[in-house]
Amino acid sequence: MPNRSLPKLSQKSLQTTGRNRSAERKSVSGDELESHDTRSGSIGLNRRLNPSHCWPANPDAAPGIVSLSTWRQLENGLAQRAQALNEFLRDIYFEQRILNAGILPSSVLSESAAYLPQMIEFEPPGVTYFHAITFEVACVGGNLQVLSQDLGSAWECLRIPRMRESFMRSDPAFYKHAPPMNSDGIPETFRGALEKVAVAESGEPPSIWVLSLGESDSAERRIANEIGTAALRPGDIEIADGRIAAQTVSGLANVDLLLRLSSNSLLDPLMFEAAPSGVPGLIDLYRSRKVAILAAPGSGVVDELEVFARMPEIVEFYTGSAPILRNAPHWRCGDKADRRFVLDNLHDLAIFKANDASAKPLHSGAGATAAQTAAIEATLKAEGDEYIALETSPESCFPRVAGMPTTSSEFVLRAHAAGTASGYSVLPGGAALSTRSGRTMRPAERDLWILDE
Amino acid sequence: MNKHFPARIAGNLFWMQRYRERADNVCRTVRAIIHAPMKSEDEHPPEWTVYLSAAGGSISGDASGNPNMQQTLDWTLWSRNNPTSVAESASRAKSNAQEASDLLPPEAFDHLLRWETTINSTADTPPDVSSLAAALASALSSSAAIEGAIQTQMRRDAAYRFARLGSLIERADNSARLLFECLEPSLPVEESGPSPMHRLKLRAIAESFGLTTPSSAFEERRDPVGLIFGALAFDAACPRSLAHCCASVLEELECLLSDCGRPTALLNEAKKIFECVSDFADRRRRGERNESEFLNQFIADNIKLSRAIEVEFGLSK
Repeated sequence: MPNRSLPKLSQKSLQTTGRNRSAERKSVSGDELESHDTRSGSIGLNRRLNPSHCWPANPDAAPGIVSLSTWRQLENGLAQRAQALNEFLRDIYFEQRILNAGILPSSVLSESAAYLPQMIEFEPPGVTYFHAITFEVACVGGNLQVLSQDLGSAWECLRIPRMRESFMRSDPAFYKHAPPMNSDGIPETFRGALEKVAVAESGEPPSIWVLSLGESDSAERRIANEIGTAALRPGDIEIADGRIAAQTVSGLANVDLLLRLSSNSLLDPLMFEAAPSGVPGLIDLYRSRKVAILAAPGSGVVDELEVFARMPEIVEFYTGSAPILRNAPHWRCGDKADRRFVLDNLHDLAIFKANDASAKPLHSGAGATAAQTAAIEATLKAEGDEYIALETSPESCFPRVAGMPTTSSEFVLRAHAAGTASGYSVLPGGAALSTRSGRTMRPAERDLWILDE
Repeated sequence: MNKHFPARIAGNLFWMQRYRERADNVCRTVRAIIHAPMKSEDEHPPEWTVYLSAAGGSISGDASGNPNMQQTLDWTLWSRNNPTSVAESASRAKSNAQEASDLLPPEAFDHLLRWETTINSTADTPPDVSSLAAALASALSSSAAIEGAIQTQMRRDAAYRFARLGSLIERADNSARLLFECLEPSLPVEESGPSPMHRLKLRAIAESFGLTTPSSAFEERRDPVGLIFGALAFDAACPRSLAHCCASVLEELECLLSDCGRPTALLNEAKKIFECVSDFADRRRRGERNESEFLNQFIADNIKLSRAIEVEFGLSK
């Protein structure tokens, strides 16, 4: 059951929501927003609420601090979720046990733009639908709550070591006290998660590339740099004799795996009308196992709000264990009691279309005008089934660690899980996103310190 | 990034440097021809037309059909309708640099963005002749900073070699075209050789292109054109000479083909050009004077080599 108690929003947290939202959007450059808008729509829930969290965030040298015991709980809980999500994806493209069990209505799949019938009964290499996933977690009243899950920004884990380096440069005296990073191997782990599923027949290390399909490829190029490869555009790719190759300065090079950030619909013009600039024949090659693609086409279903809202049940269904982490409160407007609650608290809630991957709220709490509020009220009363409400800004406060500054505990934590030989593991480190940005136009992003008490 | 980086990006590095070098060359040429005193603001000394045509500065002119000095300069330096103007070359260099920014030292990329911004904001309100020298000096100094950052901060890998090849091939082309125009028979000649004004221009060219020839030689020698030719064609110590560029192209290409595991047939093209330059230097010492023919052939062969490099590595796909 959803938690019906709505935490009171502080004045400061309201300053980062509602009225300032449009200003926050403007503070992010057009390119940055565009680059995210052309992605799969797999933008995490917290990002739906805080589009300004898009990279680059506003850095704040004061680290977010969590205790090792809290981190361990979070590691276990997020790894459990990642594992369940991968099994969920396999299930929805094969037996659909979750539909038969009545946990997920079939409409979630039939109405999801991310669900690909072409993937039905196709098992991706290594039975791995995604190599990495990002979660955002709040701590409310001492309880960890997952705010979002997002395949599209998992690559941001590559920024963790860079962020630490940057903070160390900005305040070397303070950062002498930082705990060991333990994240130097993140690019290697990330690459390892890709190599695990790459299709390499030659016996040599697989040839991994980043596929760039959008108008802006700055993110793809950054990822490629971090993992020691290059971003390929469709023009760089040659398909001949059932093989896919990259045109490099050394001639045609193998392409064993393509890491992509773009949506399914941009991949292959032979498969999707909306992909005039994609790679013709790519999906056929993928289905004939000549190349691996990560995240697998059709895996964006996990970013649907309807799926997120049912994560506790999904975790229990696939792992057979109770979920270690709860979801943040949300309200399904199809439920009469939930709808009543939402209508009474519209000024503190953001309303989303449940099966819309555009990541844009239809209503943004106190930021909405009277006319907008009246319109959303009417919509919810008429067709509430299609909407989900979330808090505009959770009041997250992690337990303090003895001896550390008290101001460092109020943040939302962003962590990433990556596939390893023994299943999904949470990568060491992450980012702390300030929930008390005050007058700052964009929520500050901080380094994350995990300290043994 | 390893040697398997996309050919498209190698093409971006190659052409970034070609356009930067082209802009650099036009600035040097214009700096040289405005260096010597003008007779009047509207008069168009014959050297102008000749040397500016080496820098792509030929325009149809105003309604009377005769472009004045300012029109010619604006077209040569700042016009966005002139594909070889400094402004247009800078814009194209920037577009290419943005595509290849991951392979460039951040300092070189930053310098390049600033260089392009300065040039194109100057192009919005072109300065008159009297204040042109400062704008040219600024463009040349920024261009040198880009080149300096590339030389000192890039690893000697395939990416560096593509950038370097672009620079050398463009430089050789520019030097050959300039020399070709120096030999233009319509330039004013007096009994003792070129006119004093032409001598001044030649001296300015030598200075602007970093030749080591002493200034006094241009006044003393009967054949100052030959002086420039000797230096800009054959002086291997001069970084803009044909001899230096050809030798360096050969060296970079050899490394590149080896790094990328490519067949070495392309080297023969480069060797042929290098040998032509050496051969003509010998013949010229023996009194042969068919420089124009040699330069025509050099320019054609250099274009062919550039195209062959693009095809071999798939740069222009």
